[in-house]
Amino acid sequence: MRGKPPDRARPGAAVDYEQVFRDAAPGLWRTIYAFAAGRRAVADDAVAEAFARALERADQIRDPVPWLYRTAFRLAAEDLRRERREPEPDCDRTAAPAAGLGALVPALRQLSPAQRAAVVLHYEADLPVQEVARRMGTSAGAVKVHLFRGRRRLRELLGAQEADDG
Amino acid sequence: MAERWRHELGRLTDVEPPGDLWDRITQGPRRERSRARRTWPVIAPVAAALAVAVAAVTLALVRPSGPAPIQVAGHGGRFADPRFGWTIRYPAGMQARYFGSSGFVTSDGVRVTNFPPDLQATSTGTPPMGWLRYFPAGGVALQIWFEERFPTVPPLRDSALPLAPASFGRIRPYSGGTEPQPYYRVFYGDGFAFSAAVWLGPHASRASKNAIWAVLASLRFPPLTEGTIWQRRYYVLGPASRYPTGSVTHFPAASLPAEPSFPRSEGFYLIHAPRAFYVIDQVFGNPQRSSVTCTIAFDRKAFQFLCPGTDLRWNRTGQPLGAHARGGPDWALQLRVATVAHDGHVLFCPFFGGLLPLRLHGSPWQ
Repeated sequence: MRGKPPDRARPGAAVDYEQVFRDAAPGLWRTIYAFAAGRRAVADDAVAEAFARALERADQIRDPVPWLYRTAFRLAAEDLRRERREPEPDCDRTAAPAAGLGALVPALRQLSPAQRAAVVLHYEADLPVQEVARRMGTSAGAVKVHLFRGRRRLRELLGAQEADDG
Repeated sequence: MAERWRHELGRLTDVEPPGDLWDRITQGPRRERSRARRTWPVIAPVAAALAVAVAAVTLALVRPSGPAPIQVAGHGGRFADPRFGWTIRYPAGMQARYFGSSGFVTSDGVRVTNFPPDLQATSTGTPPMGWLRYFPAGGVALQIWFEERFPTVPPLRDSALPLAPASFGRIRPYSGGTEPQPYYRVFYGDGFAFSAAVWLGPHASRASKNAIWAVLASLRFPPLTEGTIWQRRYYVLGPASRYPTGSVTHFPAASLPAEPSFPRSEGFYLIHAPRAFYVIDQVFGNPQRSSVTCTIAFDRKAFQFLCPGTDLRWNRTGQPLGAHARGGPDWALQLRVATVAHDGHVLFCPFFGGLLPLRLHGSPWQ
C-alpha cells in the first residue's frame, strides 16, 4: 500500500480498468477493510460493487480512483448502518481479525468510520490531506479533525511508545 | 522506529483482498437500487403512469430464452443448463426454474426454492431479484447463474467440486424486505465464471438447509472434447496429464480447430510450469516498433524462445535476454493463462487478454 498509485486518467482517454484494479484495488480494499473495522464481507462487497458500477459508467468517470473510493466508502457506510439497524447474529461483525491484526482491529472499532478512513489513507497509504479529502468526498479541514481525533484515540488504545520492528 | 499505533497500522499491508474480487466485479453491480423504494410515496403517481410503459418495454427486452422453464414442483428431478450443460439434482418438495434474459446484459441460470417465488415482484437488477423481498421465514433457495458484462480473465483451474458451504461468504441482501442475508461465491466451470447464492430463511428447518446445500453439492459440469472450440471462447486442448511439468508443447495454427466467428490463433506454445499452465503466442510483435515481428521458435536445449535469424531470445517466462534484456516491457513475451477444466482438459482462450499476472503473483516456476 506504500506509495501513491496512478489515479488520474487523461481526459478523453479510455480507462483500462484492469490496470486500475491491479494498481488501486489492494489499497482500496485495505482502506475499506479498515473503514469497516475488519469486516471482510463489507470490504469485499463494497469494493466489488464500486468497480462494477464504475465499469458500467466508465465513459462518464474522468478520475476513476477517487470515484471508486468515494463510492466504496458510501456503500460500506450503508452496510454498516444497516448492520447497526438490523444486526444478524451470524454475520461477520464480530469476525476474528486477520492474523497479525489482533490489536489493531479492536482499536479501529473504537474510532468512527471517518476517523478510520482518514487515518488509513493518510498514515498508511501516505496520501496528503487534500487527496484524502478528495477520496473521502469531504473537506481538508474535516480530514484534519478526523486525523487529530483518530490519532489521539489510537495512541490511547495502542500506545505512543516506539515499537520494536521484530 | 515508529510509534506503536503506526507500527500496528502498518500490519494492514499483510491483509489481502479475496482472490476472486475481479471476478465478482465482472459479474456486474449486484445491488438492487433502493432509491425507488425510499422515495416511493413521493413518486407513486408518476410511477403508476410509467408502469404500463415499463411493463411493455420489459416484455419486449426481457424475455425467456432457451428452452421452456423447467418446473417439477413436488417431485424433485434434475436440471440441465441449456447453454453450458451443467446439471444439478433437487429433491422432492423443491422446484427448479430456469430463468434467462437477453438484451444489453444477458443473464441466465436456475433458481431452486422450497416455496413458490413471487416472480411478479418488481425488480431493477439483472438477473431480477425482486422475488427475494417476499422470502418466507421457513424458505430456502439456491440460485446459480451466468452473467458476463465483459469477458473475465480465465482461471488457472476450475473450482473444486463439490462447492463447500464454508467457501461461501455473507454478502449484503439484494432486495431487502424479508430476504435473508445471502451466502455467495463466484466459481469456475469449464473456464467460465458463475455466481452461486444460497438463502436460508430464519426459521428454515435443518433438513431444508441440508437439502439446499445438497442441491449445490450435486453440481456437475459436462466433459469437454479435445480438438473443439468451447462456447466460442476456448480451444479445448488435450488432458493436462499429457503435458508433464516442465514441458513446452507447440500448437501450430494448422492444428487448431476453426469456427467462423472465432478469431483464429496464429499458433502458440503451451508451457506447463509447476504453478500453472500458460501460453506464449507464436508470433511476436513489438507494439512500439511495428517493423519488429517474427515467428517464434523454441530452443529446447537452452529452454529459450527465439526469433530465428535475429538476436532476439527470451527465457521461459518471456523475459528478453541479451541486448534486449533492458529494453522494457515491449520486448517481453506475454504470458497468458491456460485453464485446467474440471475433467482435466486444458483450455486456452486466444483473445481477450487473459494475462497470467492477473491470476498468478510471482513466477509460475517458483
